[in-house]
Amino acid sequence: MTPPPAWLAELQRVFGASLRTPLDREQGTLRSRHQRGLSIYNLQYWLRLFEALQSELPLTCRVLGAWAFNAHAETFLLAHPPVGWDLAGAAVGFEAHLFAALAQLDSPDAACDAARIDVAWSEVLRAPEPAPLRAPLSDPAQLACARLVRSPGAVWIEEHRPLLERRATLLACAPDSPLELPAPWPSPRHWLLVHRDGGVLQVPLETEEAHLLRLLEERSVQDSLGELEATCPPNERAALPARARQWLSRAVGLGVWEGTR
Amino acid sequence: MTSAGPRIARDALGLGLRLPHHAQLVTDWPEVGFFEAISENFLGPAPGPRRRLEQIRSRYPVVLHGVGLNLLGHAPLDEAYLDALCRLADAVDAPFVTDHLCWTGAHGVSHHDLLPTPFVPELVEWAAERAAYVQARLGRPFGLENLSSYVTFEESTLTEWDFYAEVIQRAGCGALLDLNNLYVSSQNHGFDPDAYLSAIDFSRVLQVHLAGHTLRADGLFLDTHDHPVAPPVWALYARAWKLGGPFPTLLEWDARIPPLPEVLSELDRAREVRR
Repeated sequence: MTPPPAWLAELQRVFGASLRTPLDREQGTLRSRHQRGLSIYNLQYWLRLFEALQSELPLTCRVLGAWAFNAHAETFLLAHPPVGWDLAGAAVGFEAHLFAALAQLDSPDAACDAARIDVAWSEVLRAPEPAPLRAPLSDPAQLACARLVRSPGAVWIEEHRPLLERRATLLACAPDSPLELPAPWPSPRHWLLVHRDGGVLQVPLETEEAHLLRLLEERSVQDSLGELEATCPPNERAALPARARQWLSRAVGLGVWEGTR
Repeated sequence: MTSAGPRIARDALGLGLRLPHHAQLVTDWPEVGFFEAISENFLGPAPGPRRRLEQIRSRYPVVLHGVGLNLLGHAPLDEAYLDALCRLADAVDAPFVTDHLCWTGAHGVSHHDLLPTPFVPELVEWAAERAAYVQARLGRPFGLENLSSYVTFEESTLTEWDFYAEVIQRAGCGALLDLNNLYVSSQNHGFDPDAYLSAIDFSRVLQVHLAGHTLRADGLFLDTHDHPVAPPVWALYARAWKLGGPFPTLLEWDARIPPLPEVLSELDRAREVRR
């Protein structure tokens, strides 16, 4: 195929650099430093990307407020400008950037929890809807030695404040300023998110149940149950086998596991 | 290239497929000639968008409209993107596929915007060769849309309409004539929209786009797709119809999207305007 005219690459380099010039934030609004026509492209570049990142991490944006969120987004995008045709792909790596930045805040837990929820939510929705795993359950001995493989459409998370169960309400709040955060839980809560009927099913997990799910991802069923028992308070040990069976059965029914290895 | 996929009537009225309307569309199944899906919204692995698209495709013809081809980007075309686009076009049996006569990225950075170039003969042959290649890869008609723009280049030696018409003619591809873009650019750059219209070979027009725009306080027109179609654009549509109709017509609404009945009423307006 014929190569493009030699000047085109240079023209697009200069034009592209103008588009990516950071916006002026000094007067409390986002303004382009360019004149008229070029300012439109400059503004459109940043506002489109801010919106894309906000829609990937909507709860985080509400918790931080759009102004602070966009400042983090700008720092990230200057270091990692978008590549490829997929606008959602512009957010890849942003949560890691955010975690690093948020760790320096005085109380980062809410924003970090929100980012984990947002990432899990997207991950679940992008995966196929999981189906219940059946085959290995027919042979208990084989199942005991197996390691279970998590369905990409099922993710568990831990939160320190009631963000997930109030997600819809929080997302309805105006994003301009940070939210007044709900009070923290006395101890962390655990949730399972599953892609179901085109949406996300939120299932509360008991603490030990969440612990078991994490163990099952890392070791065989037998070893996981052994570890769970070893860390179980003595007064709960008698009831543990029945409860573990119940948790396993529920996870299998929800399609948490897509296979064994 | 002859039309592929299900037939779209030459005078069909279509709508840009937008998520806020989906639930009502698959309940009411309104009388709409065809839908246009933004290709990039359905190229990824997420199953939800593809499932929704299949629902719409079960009752309506679906054409694909891309924003990520980067036809005028200096780098080679993205073959992986084209592979995915071909698969999607095959999956929905698209009568035609369109994108823009513009660049979107360069030097490894995607700007996710539709960016202009100077209008020079040097670019015509190169752009036409790439557009012809895309059409051959797709194995179905491919159309190029004219841009709305906010800057011009001193280097330009052709008018926008001569550049656009020449690329399409040399590529042997189709045109997606966006009348709102044409109007917005004519106001921003001070040219006569009818001069543009008179350069169009309407036998190559796969479809015409209509949309709303915003006029800023400083006199700049923005292609925002967040309003009803403006009266001067309706007037331009009437003149285009008289000059080259019938052609399939599609309404785009991308921001501050109103309820479906309001969008459908804009299609009724289109019917009236061209009578």
